[in-house]
Amino acid sequence: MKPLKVLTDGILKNNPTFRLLLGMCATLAVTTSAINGFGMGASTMVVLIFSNIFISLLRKVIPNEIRIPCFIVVIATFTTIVDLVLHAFVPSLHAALGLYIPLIVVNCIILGRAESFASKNDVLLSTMDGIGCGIGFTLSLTVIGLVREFFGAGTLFGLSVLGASYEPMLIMIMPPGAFIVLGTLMGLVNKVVEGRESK
Amino acid sequence: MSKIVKLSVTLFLICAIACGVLGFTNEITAPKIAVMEAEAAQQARSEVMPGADDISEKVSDDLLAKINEACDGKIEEAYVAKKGGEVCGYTFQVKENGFGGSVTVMVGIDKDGNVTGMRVTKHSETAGLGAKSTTDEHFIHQYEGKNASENLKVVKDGGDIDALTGATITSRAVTRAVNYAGQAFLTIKEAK
Repeated sequence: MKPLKVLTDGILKNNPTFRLLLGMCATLAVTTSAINGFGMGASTMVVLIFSNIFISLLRKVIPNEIRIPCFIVVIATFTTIVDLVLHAFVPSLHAALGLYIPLIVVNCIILGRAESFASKNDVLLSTMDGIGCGIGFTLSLTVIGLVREFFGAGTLFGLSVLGASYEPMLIMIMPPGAFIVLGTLMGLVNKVVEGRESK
Repeated sequence: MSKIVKLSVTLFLICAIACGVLGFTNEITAPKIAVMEAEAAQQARSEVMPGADDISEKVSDDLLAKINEACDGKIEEAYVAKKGGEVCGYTFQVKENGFGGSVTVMVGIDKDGNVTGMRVTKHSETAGLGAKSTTDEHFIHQYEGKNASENLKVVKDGGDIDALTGATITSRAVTRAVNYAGQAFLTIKEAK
């Protein structure tokens, strides 16, 4: 396996949201606007990269029978450290992302990649996998957020696009909108990926 | 048997290391976070009571206990706001149950019982819906000028407070918090 291949796989072929269907809770809940989606994606990416590195380093130490509790301890520890450090040293960023950080612990992408990738591969590949899946997740959430924000509020990244006369489709920023947009985008992405594979 | 011991010891060691790392991080960050929160609270107090030049005196513990008898224990802090040495109002930090956990609201009430400002200072409400209670200008400022004796309600419940779209529960929580602050103000007045 080539490191670069691992990285690009995470973005499209193994896209966590549209292809692996991991981390659906966070995806559905926070993508009410593009910036919220991006914030969740970016903070998850940081934890994902570091937890992949640590679990890859510890993969020979951790016995197979108790790997899941060990992974969770590593992930939860790392998430808490990120939370505390951001809170103490970068308060403005913490004010923006603070809402999402506790959600990262329960995000199954991180445990999923730890279990299926980082615990079986070396540190370089695991780091690449973390970056790739992180970018894939961030992109997916930002796109879902963009679509929902555009129809649901008439804005993109908080800037008004459709003007004041636009009557927002509130359903798009309510929970049903999340399912509609996710389903539609998932269909599109799958079509593109399968189209490329059949060639 | 020896396998179980080995597994337990490994898991114990990993947890122990994790605890140590977390304790160390907390040791470094906790004082900074405390200072930051105190500053933020001070800033919120002066924002909700724009006319005051000194908001550093807390009400006495006895009075706070009395206030909380009337307010179901929801008032966390009550400060006396002064202008030129004279009492010009009070600020109350109220903790109420919201949608995703507790919502902490800072409310300023002047000496005539009128609300001078409201800020949501801490919450875990839904991003894009209830979380707008910290940014939506109309929502934040509509409480100003309301009187402590009014029983405020959102429009859906027959009152005149406009709830945030898609976040009625958050809006109700904030409105209840402002009502508790009003109740606290009336209690202070009575006690005098």
